[in-house]
Amino acid sequence: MLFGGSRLMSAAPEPGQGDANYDWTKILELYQAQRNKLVGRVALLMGSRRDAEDVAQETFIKLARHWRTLRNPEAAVPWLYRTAANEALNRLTRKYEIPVVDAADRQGMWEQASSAVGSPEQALEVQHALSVLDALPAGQREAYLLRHFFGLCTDDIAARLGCSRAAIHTRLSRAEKTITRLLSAEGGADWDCGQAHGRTS
Amino acid sequence: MTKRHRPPHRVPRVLCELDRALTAAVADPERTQTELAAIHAALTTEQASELSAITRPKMILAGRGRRSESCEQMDQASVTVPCTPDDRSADASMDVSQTSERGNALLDEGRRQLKEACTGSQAQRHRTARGVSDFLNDAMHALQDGHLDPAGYARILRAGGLIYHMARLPELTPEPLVIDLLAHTVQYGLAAHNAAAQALRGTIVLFNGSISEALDAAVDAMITIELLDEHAMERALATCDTAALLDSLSLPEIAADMYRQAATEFAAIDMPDYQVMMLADQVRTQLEHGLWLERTGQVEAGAAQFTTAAELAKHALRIWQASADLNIDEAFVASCYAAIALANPTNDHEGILRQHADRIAVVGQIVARLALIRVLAATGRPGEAIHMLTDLRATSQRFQLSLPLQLALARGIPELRQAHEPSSDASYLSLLEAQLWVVHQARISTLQARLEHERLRRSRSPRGALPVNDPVTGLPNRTVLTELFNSLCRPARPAALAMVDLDNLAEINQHSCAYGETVLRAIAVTICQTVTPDDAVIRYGADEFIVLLPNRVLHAAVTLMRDLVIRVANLPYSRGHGATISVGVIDIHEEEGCDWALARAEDATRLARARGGNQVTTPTPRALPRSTRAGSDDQTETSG
Repeated sequence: MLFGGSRLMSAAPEPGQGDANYDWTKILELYQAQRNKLVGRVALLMGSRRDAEDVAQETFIKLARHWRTLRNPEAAVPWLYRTAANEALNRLTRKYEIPVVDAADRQGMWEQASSAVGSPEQALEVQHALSVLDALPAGQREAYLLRHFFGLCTDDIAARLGCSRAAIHTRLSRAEKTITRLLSAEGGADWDCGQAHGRTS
Repeated sequence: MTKRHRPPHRVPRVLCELDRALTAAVADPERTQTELAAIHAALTTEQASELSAITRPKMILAGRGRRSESCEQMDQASVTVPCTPDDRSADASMDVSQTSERGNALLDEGRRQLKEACTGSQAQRHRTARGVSDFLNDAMHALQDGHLDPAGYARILRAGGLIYHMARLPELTPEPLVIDLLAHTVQYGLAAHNAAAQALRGTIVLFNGSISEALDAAVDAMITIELLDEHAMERALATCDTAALLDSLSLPEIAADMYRQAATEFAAIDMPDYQVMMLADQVRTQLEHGLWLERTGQVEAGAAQFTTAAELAKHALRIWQASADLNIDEAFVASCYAAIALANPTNDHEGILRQHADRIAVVGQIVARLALIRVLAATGRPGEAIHMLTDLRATSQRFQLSLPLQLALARGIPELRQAHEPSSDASYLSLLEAQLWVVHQARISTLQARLEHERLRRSRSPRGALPVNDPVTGLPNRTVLTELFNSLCRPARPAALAMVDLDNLAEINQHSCAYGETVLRAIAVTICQTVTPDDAVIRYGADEFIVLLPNRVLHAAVTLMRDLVIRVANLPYSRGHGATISVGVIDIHEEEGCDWALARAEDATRLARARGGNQVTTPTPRALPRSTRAGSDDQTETSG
């Protein structure tokens, strides 16, 4: 019926439509290469492995749905990290919802992370790194992770966190100073993950 | 300002180590398999639907000759009679109380196209869908010229969305149309149309496999319908759409309740033919529920459902038989006979069931056929019953049935099950049914929790409690400003105030005053969509709005308002008419009164306008009153 119900509306879909819109092998490759890294970084941001896994799954589903609209498949990796960061922040700041902080989940993941490395020295280092990140105030940690682990530029971080660019610069430089101070013996790493998929300015 | 350069920060090795360790720690083959399955399902909607048949909206057969005539009459009626209070106010404010001939012609064309899409083959649907975008453009121009009222345009947009949805062409997705429709209904305050649009959104996202979003849409539609306080055609239609969505979501008991509401609505506006159809649908959903209860072992509860359904069916049949001039095909009341037979499966009903279920054209007839099978089994003819069941399964392939009905078809009836299902299968299937029942219960609780949450949210939002005393925008006006200011801006909490000023109202009004009102309404809607429910929006002057932003520091408010400026500038021309805004934002100081704050905000807005408009400005030091702290956050932010 016209303008009335959705009662007369649907017909069976024709099979085979939409197959040209995505490339399953590419998505699969990307998934295998990036999934764990993505979950790890989101977990660092959200403090919960379960939430991080949900975010990662959601992000890959979005990627699959939007595969057709990606102008450049090469840009999929930065897109993934950016979308995951947005999704994670959305979940962290969603109104009317009380975030569930599962201490056991968090502790379990940190322990797993420590045991995933080879030697006890490395395990201690991982613990130390976590404590360094935990020592940062929440705002600084968020900004630092978004900048250096998710590759977002300061403008984007400012827009996402609802504050000015100057404030983000301040937070970042304070976070960097604190980290350098706490790791005074460690500075000058040989690997810079901020460069992996982020912008440099 | 010169840019300072500093060396790029390099992430310390320890943190990189942590990153690697976390990457290794979260490797979980089992979990990745489930995730991959989910992604794959999202990719191939068709496959996903097969995996979970619940995600598909049901198919209702085309080719209901007599019914579409009555639909047309109905639509005719709904075009000429503005129904909801919202429709009336929108019409009054737009001064288009009557749709002109051109508008009527457009509505007729929309009706024709939708009918064609409903009754035609898939190839014909594709052809119709390809022609829709030109038609929608025509309708938009007619709306702008005042030949078509906003409610009519909403109907046409909805028809377009439905046609796109039915055609399923990859290049013509219905989502943008639905988004447009939702924005249009919000802008003109067409609440009933908004509910119907939500139901349409739900059906589309459900087809795409997102049950959670579909539940959200159903909740939105249900809440909006609750808020409508008059019996009207539009409300009845929206209720009927929502019921159909709930039915596709496999929630028969809630769908039955919605169908009941829809029947009451149609009765109240004196449309017995639709009332009978809604009652028949209610009977059908109750039967589906009853059959499901029976299969999960709750035989008594199932029987009780059959008895209620039978009573209801008798009532519906009485209405149907009472007036000879009802335009309803016999097929639509088949479920009523099924209810009477299921409540008391004896030989007496065989003849009438055979008469009503000889060919399968609507879903109700499938239920009637199931009832007939039960009657046959109960009267000692299991062979014939099994033959009929096999036949029915094959015939029903072309329908997209809801989950309970699919299960009912797959498992047959208890009498036959005992004899023909191997016992190992039987125990496994009952276990599966029990689990599905649990999932079903969970879905119902989700829906109810979201409904409650939404009700609570709407009742607690400061915006919901404010009087609506500006008829054009549907916002409160300056009479409540002082009171709101004092209640929202508490001492020792940050708060900001923004004054939004339309840059070019005079220019827009030169074309037509109606354009000016359209723009004001569009801007009011955009502001409300940009701010959170905790903030208050007030129409302050002819082209000025005040936004009170409690618990927000100046920077946060400026970021939000910049977003608003961009959104307004990017409004489509049909709604925004090229309008831009200037916004002055101030943070409210302690001990500062409403008048001072307004004066400062006005200064800031004036400054933004002087700089060319389409930007956000914070006050200059000169604009600060002497009594307050000077020099804090005094900088100018621009955007645009």
